[in-house]
Amino acid sequence: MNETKAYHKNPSVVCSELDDGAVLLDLDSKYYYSLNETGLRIWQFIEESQSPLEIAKKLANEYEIDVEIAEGSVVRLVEELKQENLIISKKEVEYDAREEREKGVC
Amino acid sequence: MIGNSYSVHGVSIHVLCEDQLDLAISSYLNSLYKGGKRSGIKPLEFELYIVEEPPPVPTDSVQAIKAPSVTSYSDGKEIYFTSEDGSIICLNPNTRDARGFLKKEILNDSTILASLMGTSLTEALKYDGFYFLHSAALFGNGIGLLISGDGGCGKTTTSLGLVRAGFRYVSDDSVFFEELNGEIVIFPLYTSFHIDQDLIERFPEVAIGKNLPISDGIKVSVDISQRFPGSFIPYIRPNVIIFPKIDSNWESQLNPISQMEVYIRLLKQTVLVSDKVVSKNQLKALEKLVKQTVGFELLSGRDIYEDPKKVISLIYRIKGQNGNRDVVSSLV
Repeated sequence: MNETKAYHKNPSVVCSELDDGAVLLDLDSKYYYSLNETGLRIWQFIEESQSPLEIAKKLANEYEIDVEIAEGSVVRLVEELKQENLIISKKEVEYDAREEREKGVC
Repeated sequence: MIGNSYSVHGVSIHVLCEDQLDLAISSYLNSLYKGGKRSGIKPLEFELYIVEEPPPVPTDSVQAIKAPSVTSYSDGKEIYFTSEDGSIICLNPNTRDARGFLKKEILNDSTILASLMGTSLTEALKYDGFYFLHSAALFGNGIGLLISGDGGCGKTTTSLGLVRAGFRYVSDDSVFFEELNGEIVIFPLYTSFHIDQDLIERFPEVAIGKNLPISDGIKVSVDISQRFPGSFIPYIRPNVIIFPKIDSNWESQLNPISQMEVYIRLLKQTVLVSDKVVSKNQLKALEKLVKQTVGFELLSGRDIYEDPKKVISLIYRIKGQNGNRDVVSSLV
């Protein structure tokens, strides 16, 4: 089944782009993660894309590979990024923001 | 109470402390690199007291950094630095005020006082864009060289060998990196070398006034510019970073490492603050430092001890090897 959620990058995560990929550092946990060049490209596509499938299409176009192969890589990485709290579902972000607004009104 | 003013890396430090602390505090702060006066930076104000029972860290604070001798906590506004003996310094980096409540026993151990003062001071200076890095820094043969790594990896030994061979030094252990006119520049925290008995035996010429044997585990502070006049320089623009690792082989090897590897290794030799905006600026500067340099792992064999300049010939030898032309072309 295609993953249809869109994601935001966690604002506490700093991405340092380097020649051979990137290092993501979570300023809350102080854990760091390394991304290879393809991983970095997926990370760059995350904010501007509506779903992992859309990221996969962009990646497939750029690297001239099958969308299905690209989608497998994207879904795996997105799942890992989500588990490590490096990205947040856009719906969760909207929900949190609404909750904050409601708290403010009370 | 006694009030005194100091300068560290061009930033004014005003200290008001109890009489019995004055000697230890002035001895520590005077050992740091003073630097030229910087305009537009508000002085840091320290008030230090000796107390029986230092106040505890507020319960709503969370641990920010755990180092071997100092642990820091933050409540989002103030940062608390505690030493093993219970002494505490509370820093407000925005107002630039720090209050310390120290136990009397701290006067018997200058290293604890230096760790506590040093950690709070370097933390405060990050808010001015001066970031601490555990590294030696030298210049020679057109190379602005950083030698970074954990204690015991050979920073001081290699630095002394290079100074003996004509290199100029910024520091053998502790520096600040700072972005200046779009480039990363390295300045010293300490200007003296910290030398143990083993190093004095290897480099007897640096033992000016240190004729007694130094006990095991003790390092003494030595101003080596007295032995090598003109060898100190206040800053470098680095273009090479070396991470030494002691190796049992005779012949040393220098292996290029990727930017990502350099970044991750440097990350372990700098300390992030609890404030996210400051940390982000620090990481941007670190990224710039990595991109401005080429990195190597030095498998440090016994030949380096005979001829420390071997490091430099190894760097230039790599220039001639296939696949590394681009990496080292920036050096020449």
